[in-house]
Amino acid sequence: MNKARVVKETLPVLLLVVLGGALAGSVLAGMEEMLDLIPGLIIIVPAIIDMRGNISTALGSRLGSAFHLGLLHQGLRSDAGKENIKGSLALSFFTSLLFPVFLWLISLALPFSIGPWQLLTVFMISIFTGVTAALILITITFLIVAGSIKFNIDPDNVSGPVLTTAGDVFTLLVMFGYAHLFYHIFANVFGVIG
Amino acid sequence: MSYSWREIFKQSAGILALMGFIGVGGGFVLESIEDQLLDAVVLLFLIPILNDVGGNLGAVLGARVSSSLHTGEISPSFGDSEYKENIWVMMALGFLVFFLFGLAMFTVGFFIPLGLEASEIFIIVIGAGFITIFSITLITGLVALWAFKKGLDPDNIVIPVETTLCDFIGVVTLALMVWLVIM
Repeated sequence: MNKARVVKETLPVLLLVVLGGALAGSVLAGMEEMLDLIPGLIIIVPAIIDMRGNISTALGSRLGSAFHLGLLHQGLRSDAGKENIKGSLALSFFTSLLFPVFLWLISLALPFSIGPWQLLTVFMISIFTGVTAALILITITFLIVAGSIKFNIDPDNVSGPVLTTAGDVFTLLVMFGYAHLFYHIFANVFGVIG
Repeated sequence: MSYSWREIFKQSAGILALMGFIGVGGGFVLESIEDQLLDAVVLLFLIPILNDVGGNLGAVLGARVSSSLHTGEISPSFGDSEYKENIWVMMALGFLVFFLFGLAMFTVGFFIPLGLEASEIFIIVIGAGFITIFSITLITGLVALWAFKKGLDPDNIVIPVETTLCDFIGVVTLALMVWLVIM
């Protein structure tokens, strides 16, 4: 194990993570109004962000293994690359469906209730955010892995921190957009929430 | 070793769903105790940093150990020296990050009133950071090897488990340090 290489490649990325966290925090602060308007959204925001981080970091980790195993010789368009993308997309879709269900289950045990239209709004935001953010992050994952291989950096040393941080920022931005869109549709077009 | 999306889905879906559920439930719990635990804003600011640095360090360690298990550079035994070295080096790296961060917070706290003494903040950051890093690197190492021995791809299992646990450990150790230093 090359200790100097791990420290040299991972330490700067970890320090960048601290800055990225602050950036994500400010995006979240900008969403405050939407979070007030759509009850239940705030509860699943951390879970959705974490899930996106988990799925893309695991993808980066598998691609790192595939690289070390020599399975990425024909570039990222090889079978290992394609199967990994399909796997991550399937997981993104599946977990986005789950969050509104979790929210509903947990809300049953709580003193406050979340109405059916609010749940539907959160459901739509969750699905659309999950799939859109997945497409963006899968692309970023491939760029990071291809980029680190090109610059002779071990993808295992950098992909995780970069992906969780990029994941936080992009997921929040995408969610912010869809929250506006679906709030507008459900409140102003159908008039069922708000 | 070859990849198939069905196998990836099969191995990951359950663990992601379980960790997602714990995450949603944990969100409720944390929201309800946060106010009581933490009066100073500076401590609230430390939670995501503990969670992120710990979670990311675990992700790097998990990815490294998984790759080495796949290529055979690490033999699937808890006594393997390369395996142990990966864990110690990551632990040391995490200690270094929190030592540097503690120093930075001490300097900030020395000049700007943060609601706590600069030395108190330093001890809280170092204490919570070191305990979080110590536990998360050990957990990551154990889960990776356990998954591999079970015939699972550790790349699918380790990251969701360690990030979810790190979120808990980060908040609990922070609460513990605050309690020790202030009480």
